[in-house]
Amino acid sequence: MAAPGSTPSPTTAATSGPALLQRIASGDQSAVPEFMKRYSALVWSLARRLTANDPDAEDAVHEIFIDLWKSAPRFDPSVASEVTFVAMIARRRLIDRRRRLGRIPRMEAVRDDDAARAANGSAGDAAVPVALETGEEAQRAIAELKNLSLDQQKVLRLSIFHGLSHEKIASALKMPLGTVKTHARRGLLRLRESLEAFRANAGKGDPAL
Amino acid sequence: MSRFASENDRVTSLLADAASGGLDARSANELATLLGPDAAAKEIEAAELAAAALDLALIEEAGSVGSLEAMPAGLAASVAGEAMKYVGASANTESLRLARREDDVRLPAIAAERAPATVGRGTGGSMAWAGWLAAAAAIVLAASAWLPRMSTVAPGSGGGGGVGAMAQRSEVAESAAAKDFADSTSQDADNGAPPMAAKVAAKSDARLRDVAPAAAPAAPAAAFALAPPAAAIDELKSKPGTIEIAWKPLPDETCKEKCSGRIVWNNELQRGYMTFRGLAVNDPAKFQYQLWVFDSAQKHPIDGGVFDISAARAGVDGEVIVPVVAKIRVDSPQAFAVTIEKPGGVVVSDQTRIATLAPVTKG
Repeated sequence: MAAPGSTPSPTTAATSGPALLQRIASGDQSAVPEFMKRYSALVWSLARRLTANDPDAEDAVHEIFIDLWKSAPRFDPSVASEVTFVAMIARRRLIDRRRRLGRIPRMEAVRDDDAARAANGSAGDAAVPVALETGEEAQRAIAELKNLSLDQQKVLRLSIFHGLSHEKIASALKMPLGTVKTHARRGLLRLRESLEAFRANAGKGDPAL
Repeated sequence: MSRFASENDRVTSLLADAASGGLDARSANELATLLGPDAAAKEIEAAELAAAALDLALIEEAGSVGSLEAMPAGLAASVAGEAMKYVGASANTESLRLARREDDVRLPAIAAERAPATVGRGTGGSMAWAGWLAAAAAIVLAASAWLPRMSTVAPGSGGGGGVGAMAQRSEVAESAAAKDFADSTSQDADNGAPPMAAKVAAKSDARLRDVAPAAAPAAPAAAFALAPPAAAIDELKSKPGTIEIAWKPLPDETCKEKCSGRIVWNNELQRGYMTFRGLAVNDPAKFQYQLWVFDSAQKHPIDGGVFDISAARAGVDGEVIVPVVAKIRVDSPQAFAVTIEKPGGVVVSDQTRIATLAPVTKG
């Protein structure tokens, strides 16, 4: 555990050998600590961002990792990088959870947990930034995002990163709901096509990317 | 706007919804109706991956402002401890069965994969699986040199007769999962569970398992994802205690006594990989391959997992690599066998079709 204020070593992708998920799929328990080290911050941060409070986020984290352990045999490095797969599983669980529980994402509510933590002087390692190797797919995604119109970018950022519903985005941007949906649809479609073209051309060979 | 264009817009709209806010049962049903369950699941996952990549990109773009937070140590320890229920030798079917109940029913295929009694059962004698090896021994030359305990078991006895009570991958489990899916995804539980919605949920996870999504339809049940690279096998072979056995080809039409390859297994690590050349490409909707491990410490064969062979999965040299996922710990493997089973595999094989065998020779 890093001391507050210090920056832990950034997670780094393995440069060779089977992906952690593939080792986990084959029953290699020694891969679990490394997997936690590499992805726990990502999963926790996504959970905090897309849940209403910390207890919710903790519950969600448990659900996400159980899904990851059980989904490990289905990871296909030719379809997506490991980090993207992890993020997808996490987002899927969080979106499903939100639909089940009807909770709004934290970004729309007062961050009571942060305020309480600050008041108690117990920021601990929650305040320590952790770097993440997001991989080439993310690089491609951000490049493609910048090719979209400003309105499309705004809609996608609010929808994907902040987890806002289309209705709330329409209200926030003072944009017709139909326009918001069109921006989200076309933006995501372009993004997906760009990533699939990237994968097809890249011929992913390193399962750890 | 043409009907086609209108439907196309509707599909992309639904997919964008799926990736950002999820679909309710009605929308999932609509998407499955427009595309078919397999294609709908595949498309949803592609959209989800795109959204995930974008999310990662936005995290990185946010820099220090949107940087990640370290998970609280207590939470991380709890999660890591829980992992042992699902990963490796300590994983047990009871934990998986209990977890399945709580599971989001996007994963009914996993529920089926984790069907109880992952050890094949027979009602025969103390070594119920010996009948398997006896039947194969009659075909494979020089079998007596390697078949364990065959001298006490007559061909066709033991497990052969007992597997009449074959446990099926439960459609009841899938029905329950389908209902749970509707309850979990629909705000209005009174609408019930449209069957299409459940199929989409099942297929959504079949997509990632499918080795060559463009080449083969999504399997209705568990199948391995793309095999690890050959480097993983070399790495395993470098570990002490790793055994490597060549497959013995059998006359079944999937092998025609010509298929080849090997199985590499390490008992201590409980890890292994299979390689195949010449094993027929299968249509997962019609049949799948299933690995069985014959362990002298077990009365019945251990389920080593269901897998598919597709042309796209083969490497440039035509070799297909498949990881072994034994459902329980393997202590003393005597032989490995690959059978042909219905989609999703079985809990108890009727042994009517065996593609290949790999006996463990005592050196």
